[in-house]
Amino acid sequence: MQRFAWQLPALISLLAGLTGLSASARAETRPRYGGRLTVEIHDAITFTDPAAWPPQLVALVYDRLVTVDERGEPHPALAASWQHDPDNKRWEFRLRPGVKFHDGSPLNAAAAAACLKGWTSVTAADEDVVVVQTENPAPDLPARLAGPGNVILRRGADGVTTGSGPFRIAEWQPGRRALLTANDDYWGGRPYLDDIELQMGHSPRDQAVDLELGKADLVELTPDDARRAAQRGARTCVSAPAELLTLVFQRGHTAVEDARLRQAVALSIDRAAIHNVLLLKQGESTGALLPGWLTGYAFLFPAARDLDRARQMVASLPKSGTRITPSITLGRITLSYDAADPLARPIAERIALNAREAGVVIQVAAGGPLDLRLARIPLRSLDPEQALAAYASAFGMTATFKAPTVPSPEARFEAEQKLLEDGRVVPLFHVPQIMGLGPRVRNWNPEPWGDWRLADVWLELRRP
Amino acid sequence: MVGSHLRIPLLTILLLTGDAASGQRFDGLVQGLAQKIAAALKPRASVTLSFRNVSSMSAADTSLTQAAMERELRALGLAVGDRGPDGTEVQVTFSENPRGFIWVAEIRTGDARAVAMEEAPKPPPASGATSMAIEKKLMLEQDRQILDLATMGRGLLLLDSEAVSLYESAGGEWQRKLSVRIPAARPWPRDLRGRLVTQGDAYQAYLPGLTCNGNAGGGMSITCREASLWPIGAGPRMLGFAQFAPARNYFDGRVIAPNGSTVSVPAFFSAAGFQVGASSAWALAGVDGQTHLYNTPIKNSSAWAAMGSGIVGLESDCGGRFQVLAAAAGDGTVTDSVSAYDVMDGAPRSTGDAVAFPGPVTALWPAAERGAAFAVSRDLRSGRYAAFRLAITCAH
Amino acid sequence: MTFRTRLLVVFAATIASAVAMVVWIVSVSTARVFEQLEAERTAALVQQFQKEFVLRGEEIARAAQRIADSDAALRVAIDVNRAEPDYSLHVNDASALASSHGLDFLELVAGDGSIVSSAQWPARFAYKEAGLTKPADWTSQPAFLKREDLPDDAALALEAVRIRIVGDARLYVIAGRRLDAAFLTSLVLPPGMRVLLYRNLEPAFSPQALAGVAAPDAEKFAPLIEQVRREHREATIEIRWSSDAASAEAFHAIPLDGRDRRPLGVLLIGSSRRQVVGLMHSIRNVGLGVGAAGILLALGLAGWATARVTRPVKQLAAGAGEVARGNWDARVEINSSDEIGDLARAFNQMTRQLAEQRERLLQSERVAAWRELARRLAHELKNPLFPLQITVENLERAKREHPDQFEEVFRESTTTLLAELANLKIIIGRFSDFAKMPAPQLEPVQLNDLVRAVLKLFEAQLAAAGAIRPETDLDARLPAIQADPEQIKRALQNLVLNAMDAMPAGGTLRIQTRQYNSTVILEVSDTGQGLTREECDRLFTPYYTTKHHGTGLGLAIVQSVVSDHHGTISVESQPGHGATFRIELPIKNAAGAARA
Repeated sequence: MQRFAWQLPALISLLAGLTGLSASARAETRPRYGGRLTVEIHDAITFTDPAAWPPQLVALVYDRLVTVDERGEPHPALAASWQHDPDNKRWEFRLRPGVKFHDGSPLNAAAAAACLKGWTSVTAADEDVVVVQTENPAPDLPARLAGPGNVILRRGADGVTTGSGPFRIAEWQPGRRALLTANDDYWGGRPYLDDIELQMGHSPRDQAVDLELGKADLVELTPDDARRAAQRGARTCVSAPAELLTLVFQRGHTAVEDARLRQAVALSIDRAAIHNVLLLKQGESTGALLPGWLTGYAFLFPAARDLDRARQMVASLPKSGTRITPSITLGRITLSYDAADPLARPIAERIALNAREAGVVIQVAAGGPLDLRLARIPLRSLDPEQALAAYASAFGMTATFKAPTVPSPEARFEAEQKLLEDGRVVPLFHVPQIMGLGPRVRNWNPEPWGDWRLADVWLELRRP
Repeated sequence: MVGSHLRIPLLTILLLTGDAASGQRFDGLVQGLAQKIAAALKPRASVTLSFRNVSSMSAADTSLTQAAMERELRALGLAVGDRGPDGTEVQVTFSENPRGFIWVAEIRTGDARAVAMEEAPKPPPASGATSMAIEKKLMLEQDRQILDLATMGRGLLLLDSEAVSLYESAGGEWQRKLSVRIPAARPWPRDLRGRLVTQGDAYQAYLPGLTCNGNAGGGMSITCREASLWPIGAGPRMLGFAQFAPARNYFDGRVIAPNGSTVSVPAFFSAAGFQVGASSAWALAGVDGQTHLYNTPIKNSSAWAAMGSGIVGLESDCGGRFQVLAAAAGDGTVTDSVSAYDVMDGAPRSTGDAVAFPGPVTALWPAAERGAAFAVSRDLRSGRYAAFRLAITCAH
Repeated sequence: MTFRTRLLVVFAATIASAVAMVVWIVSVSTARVFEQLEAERTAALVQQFQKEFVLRGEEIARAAQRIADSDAALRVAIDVNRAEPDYSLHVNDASALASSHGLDFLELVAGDGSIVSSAQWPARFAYKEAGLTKPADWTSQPAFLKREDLPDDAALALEAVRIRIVGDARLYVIAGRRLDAAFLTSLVLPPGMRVLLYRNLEPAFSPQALAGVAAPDAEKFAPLIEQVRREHREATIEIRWSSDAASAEAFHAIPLDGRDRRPLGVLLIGSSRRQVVGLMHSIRNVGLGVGAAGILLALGLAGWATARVTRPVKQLAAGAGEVARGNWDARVEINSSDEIGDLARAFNQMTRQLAEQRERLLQSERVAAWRELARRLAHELKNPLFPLQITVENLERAKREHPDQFEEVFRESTTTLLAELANLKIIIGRFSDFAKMPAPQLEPVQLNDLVRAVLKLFEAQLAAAGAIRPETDLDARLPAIQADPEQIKRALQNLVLNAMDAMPAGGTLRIQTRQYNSTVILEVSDTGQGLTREECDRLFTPYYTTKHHGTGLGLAIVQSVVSDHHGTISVESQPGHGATFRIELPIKNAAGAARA
């Protein structure tokens, strides 16, 4: 399921642009307790299970053993400390004492061990010691435990999940609204906010309007809405570009089985124009799956337009309607996009127009599994290997994905190259998440994982 | 040009002393990558080498590293610089990721391309503190335009368009105690500026075309004469005395250096001093809208250009030790803000922190205390002038 | 063909011709009038269309000018003509402007031809819009037709261009509306007319480009459209939608040109033929009706005319026929005072005179025939009577003078007397036969069989009489005739005898039968000495003979038989070349119906 998910990893401690407007004559320095933060998002979450949640919301309700900073360095969370053997294959994590789930049950090693998957073995050595055994040396195991799949929760008999995070779920209307109230006993200190009202399923345009009307304190904005908001003096915050906008050629669709056709489409795309005009220069053009700020070598993947070569490729193709193999017939190509994403349609239409210059006719349509789709895929992990594995899964290429055997940048580069070599995936842009902040919101400083550190946010209760 | 005469020896000193720590920090990367490049080529191959930097590595580090890379490749037997018969080109890109620096070498021979990479964690920054903030505190408000403030003992001396006044703190608020009018013979120019320097009970007040001396101990006295030289900087970081253009709001570029010589710089509104290596350098907010760098070989970066016409240099214990506070580039009809930049290797890096003002910042001067400055802003709604004390703090 | 029929034909032809001519003239005139009317209505519609076109164009041009003059356009012009223009600022402006000005198409184009914002195809930003630099001044340029490419297809648009100039910078505003079937609904159409629009945007004819017409029907427009595309001028075609002629529609096609003078659309003005076809049908039906009435009238007239003209003529003809049949007492009862009456009176007089003359002739012939018969009888009887007389005288003499020889003389004389008496009997028998030849008993008779029978009968005689060779040429398909076989046989025998008599030294006797129309022909030819013309003429006169012996009744009997069978007999001969007797007998021997 394609989710229009917004991620917010702010990797460097420098935010791309925080425009402030404060009409007050005094700058507030001490945070205030209390208040309700109204957040609007586009996603409509139907389950309490964090696997179905946008990644940035998970840490509101659920904890992990470890968190990482913007440099990827692990810091204690539920695990107060850890140690490992010389081979980096056996790790012991000592849990923070006295931590409880929201339902009052103790968060012990057994409960934590039950949630950690994907390792050779995870056991509870003691009441508060979790032992993780890996087959290969894993010197970066703590950082990997900070990844999205390693949330510590308790699953009830009815399937409802309970966390231990700074907020608990007080009300849950699937797909529409949730009310998260402050966890007074949170090990990291009670959040400043009393509660967070999460309004789901709002379109980006509605969110922008609600921000302007003061009905929401924190919303997701499109680049265009962000510019309009900034012009009106509203506060916006742009993350580092982490969400991948990519073209994915569907496997098994005869119209796009010819690799030359895929390559021709890829070569015909004018990323610069789309980036400058439609994305308002937010984010960056790319030919890589992983963003440049994460790997440092994204520039190695070509993203330049070569219309002449694209036309040559098309000229070498059999004519439309020709049966080139017993099961493959060339025909018109259809490109699907997510109708709920306001940027998707103009980008898709621009891609179709670019391809037409090369001689490939693409028809654009909303929804549906057509020959080609424009997908928006969030970055799942700061660990490049985990992130690549997540991409492979998103593209249905888990079977062919080979994780790097050695933890070297060349190996990661090769693994990424391998995923892209058949041309079925054409990365286009890495785009940031843009948040609009209401005038009351203070201390908005999201985490590298994209976790919205709403526990640190406080509201100026006296309206300026 | 006199200015450039001054620059050359400083540049030489800069290069000679260099930053030995920078070179050592990247030795491992240089050697590792050079070996990988050499391993991908035939022995004694001829290559053309090119570099580009897309990381946060400083310009100084970049040039040092490029030289080190060339030396290393030559030491490994490659002929660097000549385009050989194979036409082998090596482009080295200094890049980075959250884990540290990653240097990428693309080795192209014809249509073939090989890639080598070397990764290393970033070296810790020069200073221990990693971030800072501006602390803003309202001092005084009044209807008349406040030009500058200066601490005088426990009191506060205030220079405005008509008088010099002494305030004392009473009950958490400043109360005016003494005041003396400035004998201005002619009308002040628009966008009146003034500077106040104190030394004990004595003070100097600098105004366009007028320099006043006075004393606030016991009673307020003032003696003024026609003069236009204003001090820029203080102590070891002093630019000199700059000529304030008569009936204007800027310094016309004639500066008398501390050693008595006259130097010529571009006309400027304000100046911020910092240090590059062991040398003092200055950023001058030019009348032409550009920020000019004086006394440093470092090239102007786009970050300098983002600053407005009000800049002030501070020294603190935070970040790279030297910070610049800069008002935003705006006009008198919009609210203003002052941003803090941490200057490292002559390049300002935005700390992301900024403080907002209810109107335009009309004056921004360094305070006598370390890491502090005074800012005056005119409230757009009330029209009153408010004076603030800004201080750099190293808190998270 | 009877006079009545001829008269009827003439009358009918005259009336039909007149009616047809009138119908034709009326039809042609009507068609011409309708064509003229159609042409006028078409021209009026074209004018209406052009006026509407111009009005719409002006409306669009005004909208374009309003947009060009607006603050929004000013902002766009300034922003996109900077040193480093930011197209993202205004990429969506055109949609909003188009919507607020009620336009289907709107593009804002920078001075270098780059599209800043496109309402109809937002993805086309930064692409070049060609053809804007000429003319340099668009202010006075009217709206024009343009092909507007869209993401999924192409549309025909009426567009206008206006410019906003800011300093050296230009911003082109291209505004337009669709030109489609909806545009045509504003036209006021006379009844029976319709207007269609073909969007000529494809390289070949496309039925889908003709709005408002289903694809199978749209194919019928292909030749017209192709002609207009090829020749680039107006053309007309008539399309019949079904086998009913009234379903036909005349379409006048007018090319609608774009700026480059190539037809981007074809305006089709259809005029239903139902009215004119209906009228033509009416005219034709009326004509037919009138014609039919006329023909009936002609019939009546003909009947009356014939009653007036042909009846007396018929009577005259009937009378003539009667006369021909021998009823010389036929009279014609016509009492009119016109030429027919004069003719009738002349006829009656003629028949009266003829009857009298015939009577006199008959009488004289009868006298002549009696004289001839008496003469012949005398001649015939004289011959046997003389020997009778001599013999009786001899007897008397012998008795008287030579009584001793009387027995012998008595015996010789009785022999002679008996022979001569037999001869007399024969002669008298012939006369008797001739006198009392009965009426023929008709029955189907195959003439060939009779010929064969007669030849068989004379077989020995033919062989004996100087080797006369018989030849036959009998038509095997000869139909049977109604005849008395005995009489026919007798006649045939007489002819054969005649032929034998004509060839005392031998020769060839040829008998031929054949059919000719409704008669059968029997020819008996010999190769004797032949007959002169005079002899041919008198041949069938009873007692005429060329033979030195014989009663001369043979051919008369043949003629009588032939005459009783309503046939004819003739002879052809030339001296030295034999003679051919031809008998023609009708196949059907109905009284009065047989013809020679």
